[in-house]
Amino acid sequence: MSGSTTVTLSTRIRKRVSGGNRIMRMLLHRWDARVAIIILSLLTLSGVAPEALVGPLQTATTATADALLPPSGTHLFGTDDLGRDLLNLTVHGARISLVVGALSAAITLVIGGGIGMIAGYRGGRVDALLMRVADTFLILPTFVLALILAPILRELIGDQTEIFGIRTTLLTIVAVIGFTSWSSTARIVRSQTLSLRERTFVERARLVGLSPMRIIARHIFPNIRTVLLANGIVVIAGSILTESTLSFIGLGDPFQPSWGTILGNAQSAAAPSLGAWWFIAAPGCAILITVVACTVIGNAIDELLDRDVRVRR
Amino acid sequence: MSEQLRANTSASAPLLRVRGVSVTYAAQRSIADLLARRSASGIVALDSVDLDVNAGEIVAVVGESGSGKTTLARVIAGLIAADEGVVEVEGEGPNDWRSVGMVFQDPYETLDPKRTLGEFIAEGLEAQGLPMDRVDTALEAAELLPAAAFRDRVPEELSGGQRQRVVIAGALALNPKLVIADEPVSMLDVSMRAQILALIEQLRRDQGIAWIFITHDLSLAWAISDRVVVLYLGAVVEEGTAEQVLRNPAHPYTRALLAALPSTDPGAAGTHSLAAGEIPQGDTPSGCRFRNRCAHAIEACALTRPPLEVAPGGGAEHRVACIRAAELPPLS
Repeated sequence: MSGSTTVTLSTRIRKRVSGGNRIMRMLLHRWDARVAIIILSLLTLSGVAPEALVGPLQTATTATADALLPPSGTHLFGTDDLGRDLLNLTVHGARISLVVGALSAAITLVIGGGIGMIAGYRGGRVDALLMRVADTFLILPTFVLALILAPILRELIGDQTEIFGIRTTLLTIVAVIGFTSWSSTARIVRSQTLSLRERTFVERARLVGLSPMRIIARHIFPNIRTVLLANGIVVIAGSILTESTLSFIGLGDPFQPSWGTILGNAQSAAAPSLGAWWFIAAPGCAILITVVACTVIGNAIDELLDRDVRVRR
Repeated sequence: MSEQLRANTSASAPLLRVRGVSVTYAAQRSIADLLARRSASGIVALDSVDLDVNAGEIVAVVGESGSGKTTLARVIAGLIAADEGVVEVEGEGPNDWRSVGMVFQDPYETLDPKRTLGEFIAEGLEAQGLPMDRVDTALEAAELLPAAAFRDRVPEELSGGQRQRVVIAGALALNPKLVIADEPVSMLDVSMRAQILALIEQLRRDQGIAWIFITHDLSLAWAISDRVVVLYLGAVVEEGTAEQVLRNPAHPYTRALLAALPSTDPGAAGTHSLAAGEIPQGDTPSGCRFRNRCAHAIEACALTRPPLEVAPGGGAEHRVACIRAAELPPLS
């Protein structure tokens, strides 16, 4: 009696570990992924509670220092052309980048994952149709589409409207990134689904009368979850870059400075010709480090998956 | 025992009735086909196959790889549709084969690595609206004891033999009258094989489940089956009781398969000739499909497809598709 209880208990624990925690544990064994996870954790902290780290967001009226001071003990990252502390701006900018990244990735994964699984599982005409739609979106350049849609939507909805506490300008960017990047996710998910569909356990589920939707929910999705995770993290990196670019050329949200907005400010303040390298370095390095960290984690998960597959064969 | 079973059941309609089932796997039309204005050449997997299985009977379907064994299993299970012919289970057509279960060759592939054993068995129960308490009953019937200890485990923690028991439990939970086992022990250790075979035999005895046991291994067929059906290139070439087909094979192909069995007698090694070559990959030969590998083939073999006829000197149930069956030399 006590023997069987112990078995159940230990297997319960192992089962829980074998899910997302197992990936996390394996990631922590790699030094590059470990560094990337620490960076992303710090970033998340600054996104969630920037006030706790550097105080309230400084504006033109609340700026405390002289313009364009180089990095020093009081202003670690220097100040901008309005005398705002760049450390303060950069930490506050993390929130925008993270929100845009996370929301875009969510849209991408839901649309891309859903369409990819349905196309791969159903096959035939459904597959052909969905994949042609995906191809159409695949050739749309994200940035150009965003460039066109962002001002139009801003004009239509207005700057000040908020949905769920997020300004519409930001949502525009999120929507545009989400709708243009789902197609590559759909293709990846579809190819995974195609091979899963031929596995015996899916065939067996069909045999006992499980509906296609249930098969997708119970057998396909759990088996591509990690692939989606790896893909989602790479999408986050791409979204952050796109958002930065849009903000840099002035299509971002003027009331909530992101790293791209700070870079844009540096550009219009002629920071390069004034030799104010810190004005560019602070937001630029923030973008670089974030994108590299996301890519490193995405690749690490990919490699772990590969090894998983190799071990199983 | 098997004679008695058959006597009880043969008066009524068979549990499974397969008549004239043909399946052709369509090939993609190649560029060569397009240039030659041919339609795509398909691969004939089954060519008008007849098969009856009675309640509580174990029928072995034997043949080399490529003989159509697995296709036959999938047609009977309803996983693929036959291009021609009828498959009936208890007189019912397709979509009502809930009384057919299936055990697949690879127990490592049949269980989803992400789901517990209990979830695996419950899956079919849920889909068919059966009570969930059957999970434990099925695990116990497959001798996975205590059931409570297995319910929450994941496939990773089980041996191949245990996994195959879980797959069998998954089939049992749905209360099948017939279970198709496609090479169920070919991936298992020899010690596990005996256990799984004993389990199949026991489930037939206790629950009256009929089995179609698909194998390439004649010694397994001999060990477990009441009746043996020999498939070659998608057609039945010989059928009869295990005794008839394996003790007194009438088709040159069955003889070649038997001769290919490794002997446990060291002195007997190498006395039999194997069938030359492999199963042809391209078009099926005209007439008798085995003729180009057959040592006894004559010109007449190429002309017409030999019908299944009562084997010379055998019982009424022993049938063979060979026009030279009566002239073949007796087996030593």
